[in-house]
Amino acid sequence: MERLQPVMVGRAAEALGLTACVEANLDGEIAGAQVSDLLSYVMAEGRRGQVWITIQTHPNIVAVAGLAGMHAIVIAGGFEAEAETIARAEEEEMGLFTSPENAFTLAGKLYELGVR
Amino acid sequence: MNDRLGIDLHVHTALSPCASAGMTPPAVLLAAERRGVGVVGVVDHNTAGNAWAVMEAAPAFDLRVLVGLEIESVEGVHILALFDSAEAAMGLDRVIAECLPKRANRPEVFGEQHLLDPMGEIVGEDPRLLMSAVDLSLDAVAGLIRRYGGLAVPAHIDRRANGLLPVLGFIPPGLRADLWELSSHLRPDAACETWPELATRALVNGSDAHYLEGVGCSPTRISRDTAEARLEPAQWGRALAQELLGPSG
Repeated sequence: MERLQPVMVGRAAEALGLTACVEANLDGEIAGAQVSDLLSYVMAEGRRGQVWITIQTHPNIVAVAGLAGMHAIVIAGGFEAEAETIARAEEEEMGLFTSPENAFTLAGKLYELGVR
Repeated sequence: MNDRLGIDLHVHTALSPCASAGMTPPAVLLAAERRGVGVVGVVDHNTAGNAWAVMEAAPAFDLRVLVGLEIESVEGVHILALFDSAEAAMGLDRVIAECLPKRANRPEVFGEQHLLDPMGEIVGEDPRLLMSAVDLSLDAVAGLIRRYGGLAVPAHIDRRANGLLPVLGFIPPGLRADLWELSSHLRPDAACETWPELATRALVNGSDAHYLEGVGCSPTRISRDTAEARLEPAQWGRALAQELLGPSG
């Protein structure tokens, strides 16, 4: 079986064409991902080093991702991050990106890059 | 015991597509009165279109009636907006109408949306897709409810579908509300075990009744003095919160 190369946040952001709201943890190795819009689910299932794809833009997403020790949040579907969400992500040094593509497409591309 | 009254701030009419056609204004109020409910809140999803009929029917029943909307914020969180007049409720209704997606209801999928008169007769159908989120954040919705003089109550905050705690993970620090509604089956002490942050909040059970049988099914009991206090909805909510939280609240 082919051994997968580690994928860093910065490289994934570039490969997926993400727009950066907060550039943090760019050198962090991505340890899997979550796709969910239910924050309580991510509080329970989120893991250190993961990337989280969601269409939620509420400031609570930063706290939830921080709690799990995730590297970055990707807001999918063309939604804009709220100003307060960006401010909190800056404070907490949480990577925060947006994309016009939907969560399915972004997750597929992340998987193709080698994130498992 | 005559000095305690049950309240149920969350009951729908047949304007909500998921509600039974039997949820007419007089039927809902009669069901509430028969169950001994002293204060009832009658709402529909993202509209107060039946509020006038509910308020016109209300004087025939021995209970206090609040009317309003159950608004779905852009995050997918439901919050009740309660008023003591149909006019006040319609003020917010018009704002919310502008923020609804411009889509038509599909009655065969979601259900019919009956506009009713005070006698319970169908006078029309709301053609809009009411089962939808409006394009406003939860904070913005809560702010609007306050600005229009309403009582804001986050609805069934424990519920996975459209409940504040599952959807947003925890109560956003900036969100102001005096009352927080739990699903009918969840007692406040059990809720506080799961979510310790609720210990300092005034919790009320709401039936979220879509059928007559559900109206007032698990009322929160409050003093008759508070139930009957002649206060604007927002002040009344605050008074009720103080009672529920006790002297230390």
